[in-house]
Amino acid sequence: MAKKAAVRSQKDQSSLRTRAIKNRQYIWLGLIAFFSVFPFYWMFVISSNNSAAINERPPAVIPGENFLTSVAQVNEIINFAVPLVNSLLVASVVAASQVFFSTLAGFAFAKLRFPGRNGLFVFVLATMMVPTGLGIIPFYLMMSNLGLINTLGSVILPGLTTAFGVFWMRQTIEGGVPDELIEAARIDGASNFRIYRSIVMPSIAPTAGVLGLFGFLAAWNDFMWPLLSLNSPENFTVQVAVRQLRSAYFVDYSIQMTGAFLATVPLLILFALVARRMVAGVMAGAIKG
Amino acid sequence: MATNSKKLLRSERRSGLLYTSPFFIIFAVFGLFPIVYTFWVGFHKWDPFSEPTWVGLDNFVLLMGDDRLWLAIRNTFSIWFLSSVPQILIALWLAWILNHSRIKGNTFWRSVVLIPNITSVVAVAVVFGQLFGRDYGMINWLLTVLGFTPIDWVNGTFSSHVLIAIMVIWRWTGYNALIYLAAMQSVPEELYEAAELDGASKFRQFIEITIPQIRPTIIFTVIVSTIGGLQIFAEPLILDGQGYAGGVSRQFSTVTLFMFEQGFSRFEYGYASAIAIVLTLIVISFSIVNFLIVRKIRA
Amino acid sequence: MAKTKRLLSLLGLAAASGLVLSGCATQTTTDSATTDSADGGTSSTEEQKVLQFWAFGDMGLGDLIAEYEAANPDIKINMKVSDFDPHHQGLLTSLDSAAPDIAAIEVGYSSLFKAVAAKFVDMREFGAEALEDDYLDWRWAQGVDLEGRVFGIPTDVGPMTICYRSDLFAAAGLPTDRDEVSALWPTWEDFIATGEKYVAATGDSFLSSTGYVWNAVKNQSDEKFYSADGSTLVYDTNPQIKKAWDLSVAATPISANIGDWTADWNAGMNNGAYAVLTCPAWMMGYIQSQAPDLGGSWDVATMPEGGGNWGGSQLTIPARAQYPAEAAAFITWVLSAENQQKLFEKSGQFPSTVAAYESESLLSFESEYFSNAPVGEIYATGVTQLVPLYEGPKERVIDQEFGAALGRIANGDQTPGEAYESAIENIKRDVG
Repeated sequence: MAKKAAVRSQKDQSSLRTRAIKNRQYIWLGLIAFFSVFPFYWMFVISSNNSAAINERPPAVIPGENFLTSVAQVNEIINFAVPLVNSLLVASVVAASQVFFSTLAGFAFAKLRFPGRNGLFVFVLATMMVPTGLGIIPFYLMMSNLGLINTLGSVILPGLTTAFGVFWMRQTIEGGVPDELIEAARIDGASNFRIYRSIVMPSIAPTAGVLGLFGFLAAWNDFMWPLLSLNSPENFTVQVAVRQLRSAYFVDYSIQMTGAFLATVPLLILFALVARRMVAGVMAGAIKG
Repeated sequence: MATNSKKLLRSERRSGLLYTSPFFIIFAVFGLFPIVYTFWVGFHKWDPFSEPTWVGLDNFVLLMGDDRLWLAIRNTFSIWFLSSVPQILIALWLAWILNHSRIKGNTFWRSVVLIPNITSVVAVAVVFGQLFGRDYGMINWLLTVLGFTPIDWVNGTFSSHVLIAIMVIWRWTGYNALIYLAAMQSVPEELYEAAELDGASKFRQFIEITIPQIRPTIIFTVIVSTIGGLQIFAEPLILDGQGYAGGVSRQFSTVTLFMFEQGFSRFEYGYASAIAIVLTLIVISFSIVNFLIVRKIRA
Repeated sequence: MAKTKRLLSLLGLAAASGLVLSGCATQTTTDSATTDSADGGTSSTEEQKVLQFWAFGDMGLGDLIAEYEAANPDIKINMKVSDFDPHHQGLLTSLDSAAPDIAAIEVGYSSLFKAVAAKFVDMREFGAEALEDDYLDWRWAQGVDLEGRVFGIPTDVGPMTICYRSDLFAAAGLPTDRDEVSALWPTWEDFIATGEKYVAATGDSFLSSTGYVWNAVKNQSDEKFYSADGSTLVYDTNPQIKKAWDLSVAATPISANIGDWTADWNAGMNNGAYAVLTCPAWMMGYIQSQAPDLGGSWDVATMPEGGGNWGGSQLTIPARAQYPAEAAAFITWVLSAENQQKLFEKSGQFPSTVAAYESESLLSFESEYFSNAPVGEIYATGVTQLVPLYEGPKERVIDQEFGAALGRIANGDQTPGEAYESAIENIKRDVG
């Protein structure tokens, strides 16, 4: 107690210094914020100006009036609504499936007793270290043999589960759902799935939601495999569509940038709505990692 | 009562295996099988035009003498180093500011630093490719205004690595900062108070208390960024614009990009698989080294 | 649970916002009634057949497609345009699964695809034999495999000239008249010497990259990387390749080191970053589309040491096409002598149909954009001088390695000797 008081009085003495530090911190944070946001702003500046304005010296730094024209030009090359719908579909299915399978497996690992439980869980952790991207050649051959190349299924299937999700949900359920609650339900004759549905899920819903969000983002932004698999415009996801804009003979930054912007706006809006929970999610994942 | 609990145990056993099986099935089919099968393909001459033929170690012998592999390995490590070291340092510093300031709007600042992470690599590469363009890029214009010579970012070896590193740093620093921030928040306040009484400067506190306290978290992020960084692919692919070569001098060709080039541009599936195997071995040995370091530090 | 639900509806809302953004602009598109490849596959009605058409450039076909769609209301043609190499690579990997109805294959890739010709519709099913005599023999042969399957019908041919900026030539004190300009460079050495004069006078670059000399000279022979009968690889012994290499290296000081098909390259057509391009006929259309305001500034002269072919494609129908008969009907129509000639006058692709070379209207055609140059006659003469050139299966791989080696010299990363050695080494490893 005495210690704390001493610290406090020392803090008062150096309050001038603290204020200077505080101001400096605001400046640094402001700078970081500027660098974080600037590329997004720049995307819009370029997409709303024509090529001539972009190539001027000094370059245009203020949004122009050309945005809708650029969007129309993008739509002439690829009807951008199609990849947006595809990406929404893929990312939603992946998010929902990751939440379902991760919470289910997490529940089993945290609360159910079955043979090999610990060994299997260590195995889940180990899979996070496997560089699965390096199996791309056989993966491609396999998908090709299954006739799944150029289908949305080919990009959904490999994303249905996630080791990180299983791990995270196990930690969350272990600490967040009291054993007594589960025991009480058992005595009432509830089945395991019933327990999962009416006790486990409601108590971890916020964290599970953030997991779904991460799954959604990852699927929305996935690029390497969709680029190889999805060949027809009607099956493009947004990332493949943005890449495709580069290839239209007339290389034009305002068109490319408009595509990138259209592919990003949904995420920005989403982020604006749930930023607080995402920050909490990233930080929560960290402590346990 | 006894039979009842036995029944319960049996149902737990059944449900436990049932609930965890989807993960293992999906992983086995789409994760494990392709990796294992890579080893099979790597020992064949395998392309879309003819039946695969067994060639033993030929692909690996050829690969060991292939300058492009060694160049790609050099590039990969160079880009990894240039992107992880500054990223971790900036993230630590940023986390320190976010943690130790009595500023307003905690949630706001935390959200802002996370924004870059929600964008796709494709969008990042388009924006940064434009900003760092040789003739019409904003950065080169600024350099000219400030009296420096403009840089041909994409065509230079070092400058292209820097450019790729900047993209990675921009996208991941805030994310890592939040992870460090979480770790810093669990450092006991008493440690700082004691140091404060001893008259230790903020910087000394950072070095002597914060860093050792969150070391496991730092090591965790290093491992993650190593596994990801050694497989870097999308940034150099989009930067090249023409194909999988990684620039005319292959100046930013990475191992994964080289694998893609051989597999999906030259259609040498066997040779590409051999590259994948080499990279897998590199990643695994790196992970083991990391693991040993972690264990030593914990002990 | 409720929160998760809310989150999911937020996801939906976010994506919908993107749809609204892109949707309101689709409206703008239809209002301005441009070529309607914009609608994607979504608006097809039940009786309408949508043909998927993959290409590596829009091929200037917009007007002809619109005309065809107007005449055949049940047909709609969707073009997917990709980069050159990704297009061919994606096509090859799609042949077993997701193939389009129509696909373009450039001559550099024709031999590679000959190996998998069975994965294409044999167009003899649709009476292609009858068309054979309409086309140049060697162009036709590029779409026929060893067993006689006709898997592709030829589009244009690419006889080469030199396109030059007469206004920039004038500023550099060089002649501007096309005959005088042609007289400047009977040989490639003269051409490079002219470039040196230009660079000395202006300080700007003469060529966008050394690749233009490379592309021209390597194609001025009956053998390139493979022997004329295709049996052996001669990329390291063929004197013509050596010559093309040496000339390209010599052109390094007069070149700007700007990559092809890049934004900087396109901009350079307008802003004078370079003054000449080796110009297969199809390049005329590209220049016009990129520098629409420079009509009268560009002109056409002959190429040093005679003609040569660069480019041209076959239009093919993958075996898994949904509408092979409709695709065949469109291909035969769009590649007919009449339509190829139309295409030439509009966007420069020179016909591969022999009847065109006698056509009065083609021979007298002058390009207003290219300072009224008699391009019909120039390219018709060029095409008759062409000798068939065998393009082998690994053509593109070899060319990429040489091209990258030239780039390394331009960047100053390697000496010409080192670059050549590493190119040969890489090709040996990958090709044999």
